[in-house]
Amino acid sequence: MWSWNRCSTIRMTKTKSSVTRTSGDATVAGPRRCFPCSGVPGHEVPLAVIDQIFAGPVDVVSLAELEAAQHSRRLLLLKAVLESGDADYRGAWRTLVAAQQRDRCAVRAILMYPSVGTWLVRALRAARSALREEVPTNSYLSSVAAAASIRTGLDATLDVPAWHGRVTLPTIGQAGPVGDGSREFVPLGELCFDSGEKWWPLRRHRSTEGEHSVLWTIDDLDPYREFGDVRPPARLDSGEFADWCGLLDEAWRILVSRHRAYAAELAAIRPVIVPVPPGRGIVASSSFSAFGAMMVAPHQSAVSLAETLIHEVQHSKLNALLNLVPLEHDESGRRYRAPWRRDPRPLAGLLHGIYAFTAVVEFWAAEQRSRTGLRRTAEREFADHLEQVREAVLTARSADELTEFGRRFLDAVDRRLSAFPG
Amino acid sequence: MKFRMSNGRVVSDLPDLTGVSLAELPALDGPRVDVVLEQVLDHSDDQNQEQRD
Repeated sequence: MWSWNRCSTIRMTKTKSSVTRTSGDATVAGPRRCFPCSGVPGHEVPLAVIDQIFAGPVDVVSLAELEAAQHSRRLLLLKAVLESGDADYRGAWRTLVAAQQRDRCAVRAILMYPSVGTWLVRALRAARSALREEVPTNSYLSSVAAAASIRTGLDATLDVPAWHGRVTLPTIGQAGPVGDGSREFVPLGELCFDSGEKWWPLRRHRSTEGEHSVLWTIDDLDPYREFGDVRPPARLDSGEFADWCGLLDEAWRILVSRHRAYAAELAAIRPVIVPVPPGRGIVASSSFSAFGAMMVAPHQSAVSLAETLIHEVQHSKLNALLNLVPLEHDESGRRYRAPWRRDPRPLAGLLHGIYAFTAVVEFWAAEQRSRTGLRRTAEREFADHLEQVREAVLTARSADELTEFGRRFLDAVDRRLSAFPG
Repeated sequence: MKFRMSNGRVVSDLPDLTGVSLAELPALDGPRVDVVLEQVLDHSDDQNQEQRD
């Protein structure tokens, strides 16, 4: 039933003194190098991978490097949550460990799910600041463990948290209503997985164009699906869901037809779309804690949705890379003008914008060449964004806080922009 | 976040926990939880909204 389990395309085997990475036909073997302060080896990434990320859309090997780093980060956050002393996690933890012993890939898929990343960050912040959360952050580990037990076929006795009368099982769906809505915990065995109001599966949709397809997860359920506040479910009705799927299909057709490399990286990242109700003042958003997730408001056209998807994937990639190498060491609190915002931005935000909007420039350049009916829109968008990015690059170059990799990043952006004379 | 270069590779101070099982995680000696904690607790601007206003 849970056939979407996938592990990274990078497989690693450890020996006492060496590690062998196998990725496609490339094998690199050598002694594991420990970072001086750690005792545990640090992630090693070929410079060529970093340069590929700077240069635009990436292949599955580079993406796997980023995902591996994200996975390590999730495990570190999980370790920190366990050590926070904020709650008794023993039952949930034992279940999670047992589930992993049955199926490592299934548990990895859950731990890598974007809302789990958001929860980990919120749980740590809550533990460190004594912040009272509307959803008890210490109970979500039981939801994670319950999902793991289901996906691995593990018999588990576990109480899972209910919020707004519903129980969330990350990557699977949401059960409820449970009781009169006042119960905080429900035994896993009491949950009903029949279709209807009692069970809302997390919905997925596959878009296919020729030989190219992408599997979207559309999350309108998880309390941690948005990156800011926790949210009750906002289940799309069947008509709304069909509208989303139709527009995603159309956007996918555009991406495959005219932006093939960007389409490939989007598919590889296994995007999680979080629909945002209109009127929230958000076009789209992503977060450093939720790799692969994008909050997206309803779009007027498939072309603008395609642009947004490319834009948000760039943020996800850069966020993941920043776990490995810093582009800036901004301790000054200095802010910089960003042409796409009214408020001045920290250098990290400016660099994020440069990366995302460089992809947008490339998107509209290709749209211009396609000679579709949106040619005037494409010309205007291309010219506006190109001017903005060039201005932002000049601004960023003036920053003293750039690291060696920050300058290398801007050099790569300059090379990409040099494809567009004038 | 720190790093160093070695033979054309970037060695990050993010511990590589690939291959580490959950059972091993709590007792694992050495991983620098502070590497990510610092980022999490200091990251006040955690959404990328580099969109047009």
